[in-house]
Amino acid sequence: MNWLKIGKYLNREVYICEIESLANYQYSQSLTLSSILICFGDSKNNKIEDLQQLINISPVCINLAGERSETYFDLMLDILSRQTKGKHIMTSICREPEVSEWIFDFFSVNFPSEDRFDEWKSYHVFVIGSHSFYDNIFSEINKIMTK
Amino acid sequence: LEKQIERDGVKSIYKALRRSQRTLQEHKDKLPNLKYKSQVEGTIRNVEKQIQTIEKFIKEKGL
Repeated sequence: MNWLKIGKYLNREVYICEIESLANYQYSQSLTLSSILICFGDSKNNKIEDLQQLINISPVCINLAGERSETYFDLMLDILSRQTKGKHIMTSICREPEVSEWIFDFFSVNFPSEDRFDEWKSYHVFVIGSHSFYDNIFSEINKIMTK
Repeated sequence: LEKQIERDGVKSIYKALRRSQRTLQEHKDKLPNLKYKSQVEGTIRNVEKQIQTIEKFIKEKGL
């Protein structure tokens, strides 16, 4: 999967990728240093065990938004609560209906834990859904990049 | 926060504060249902610190 670099936000690189499902996604270790946003659109193929793989990488933050994110938030906390070792992963969910609010929360509200702040290097946005959904997310991030 | 004011204005600071308070409550609400709570308790502590930082910033800047 190719990540598209959109630009930088406060000196951290911002990447986005469009995928059909988290199933069988090969996570790069570079995501360990990243704050992650997963935007759930209208995909029907996601399986929760794929969040386990992402959690195993230990990104500094995992933020969820969109359809079914409430279910995924519960499951993510359940997985994390059973982990007694490893780096702390900050978690959040954005329940606002507007994509612009997801992006605001991602860049302006949700931050890594204090002990991991210095290792934080980038932002990565997974978009799961239709191409028009991806275009919408991309457009909202671009607005922030070009401010 | 200084950079955020420059980019997005004072309103965005208050919005970030409200959203952080919501994030805090969401994690507190989930705690009773978790068998092992240390991960979420860690998140709660960090969000509480973030809220304190924003509140202190608002007070010091007289926003």
